[in-house]
Amino acid sequence: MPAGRRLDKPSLDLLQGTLDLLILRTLQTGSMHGWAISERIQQITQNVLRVNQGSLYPALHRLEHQDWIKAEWATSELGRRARFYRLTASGRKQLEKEADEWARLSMAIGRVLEMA
Amino acid sequence: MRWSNFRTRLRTLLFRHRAESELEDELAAHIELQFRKHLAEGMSEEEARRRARIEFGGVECVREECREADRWGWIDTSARNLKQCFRSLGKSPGFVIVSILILTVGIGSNLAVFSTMDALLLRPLPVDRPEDLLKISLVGNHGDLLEMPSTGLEVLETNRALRGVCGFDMSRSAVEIDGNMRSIGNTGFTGDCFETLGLHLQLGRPITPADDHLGTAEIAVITDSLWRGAFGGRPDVLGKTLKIGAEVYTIVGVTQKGFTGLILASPQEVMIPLMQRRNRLPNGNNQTWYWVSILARRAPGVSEAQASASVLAQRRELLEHTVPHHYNAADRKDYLLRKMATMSGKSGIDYYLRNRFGEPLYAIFGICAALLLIACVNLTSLLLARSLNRRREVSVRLALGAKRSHIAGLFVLENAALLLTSQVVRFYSHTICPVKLLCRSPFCACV
Repeated sequence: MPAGRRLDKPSLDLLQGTLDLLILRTLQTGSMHGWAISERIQQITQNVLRVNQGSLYPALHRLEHQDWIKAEWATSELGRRARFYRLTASGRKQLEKEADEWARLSMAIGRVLEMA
Repeated sequence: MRWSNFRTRLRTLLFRHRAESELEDELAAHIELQFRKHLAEGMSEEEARRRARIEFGGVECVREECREADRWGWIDTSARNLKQCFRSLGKSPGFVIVSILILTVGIGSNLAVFSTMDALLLRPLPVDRPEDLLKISLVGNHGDLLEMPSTGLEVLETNRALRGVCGFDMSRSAVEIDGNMRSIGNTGFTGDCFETLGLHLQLGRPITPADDHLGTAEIAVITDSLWRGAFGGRPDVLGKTLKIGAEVYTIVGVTQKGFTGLILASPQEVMIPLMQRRNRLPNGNNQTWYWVSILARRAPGVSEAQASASVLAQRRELLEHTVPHHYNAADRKDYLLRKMATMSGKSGIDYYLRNRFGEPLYAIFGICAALLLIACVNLTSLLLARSLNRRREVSVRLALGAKRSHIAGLFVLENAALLLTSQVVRFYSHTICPVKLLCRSPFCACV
């Protein structure tokens, strides 16, 4: 069973606040609808990170209100109308900022772990 | 808050139904795409649909979370409260109409009386230091205040206690502007009236002593109200003309906002040099004086009592200088016996309105205030009865978890809506006939 395979390795819950970063980074490659974003994140992390829809869509709406992403209705590759999101100029800036912060955070955690 | 952010939020706020259906569509698209993926992986249609649903989780829950993200803080809450308020008021139209009427009449009548009082008794002329103005007049045999011949200005100008003297003559005539006739109050000003009164212009130049001679180019200064009313407030009004009788006057200035002439309750919207008042000439072109009202400005450092005493001391000289040449011996004797009076010119010229209506106005204002009180009591009992009727609704809201402050807010909002509506009604009631009848005085312009 395909779904069963996925359950073999337990997936990690996302850290609070990192979802925004992942969405912005995923959208950097082009405009995408919600489903594609969650698939993409899952694919790239090889199923380690699974995005919960319950947080994905509210996050998308929040980012839209922040003016970091913009939504448009368009037809998806499978012929289904879907809401496509794309990164705005201010979203790009925000992505740079959040990526920097994340790099600093992970480096700091890495140092603590190495010390131990 | 950025503009685009504001726009998306406003859209969600105003077109809630569309936002809702878009959200539903978006989530349905997600489930369908997941379903197609499972189909492609080889699941049966039923199994694929089931899995897609399970993986998605509670749709309603996701929707609620999205709504929460779309929500716009206090604006959103107030918009919903407002909607609720209109719905609840809509359920009792009788109450709404009665309370709006009570508020309209209660507040409207007070405002009408108060603004009459304000115009008649309180408001000073919109000029520099109006309290320094002194009104000088002759007193008739019956104690009535009279105008005096403009030759009297020559005597008063020698008075050291006065800094300037202004004589003016008012009338109402048919004035032709752009081919349209209007009945407009107009004033002839002696040359240095603008200077003496401290009356400022927003456009153009004032009338100067050089204009106040026979044979000079005919000019006029108009008020802000006429400028806006007849010339649309356009700056190219300077150089335009208006016609009084056969005379054509070129407009050279517009006075500051709020000035409507020197006499109470009768707007004077056109000012021309006194000597150019051909329409008032009784006998051709050789008249050299007019009957004028006089306002003088006290010299700096001179008190009102001092200025008044100094003017009254000139009575004899003034009367002898001004006695009209055509008077016979009896008229002349009578004229020379006239008394003089000075009073504060702070709120302009008024021959009878204040004396006649001053005290009654205070009484009427008192009555109106009592009326307002009664209106308030009536309204309060109406509101009390209404809230008793709504006890059930309030209990249900409380039981459902509404905060007390929220419910109180709803009630306050409803009352505020009633008040606001009544004030809008009052404001526009000028155009409604019966209310206009109550309020026909010129002061109503400011109600």
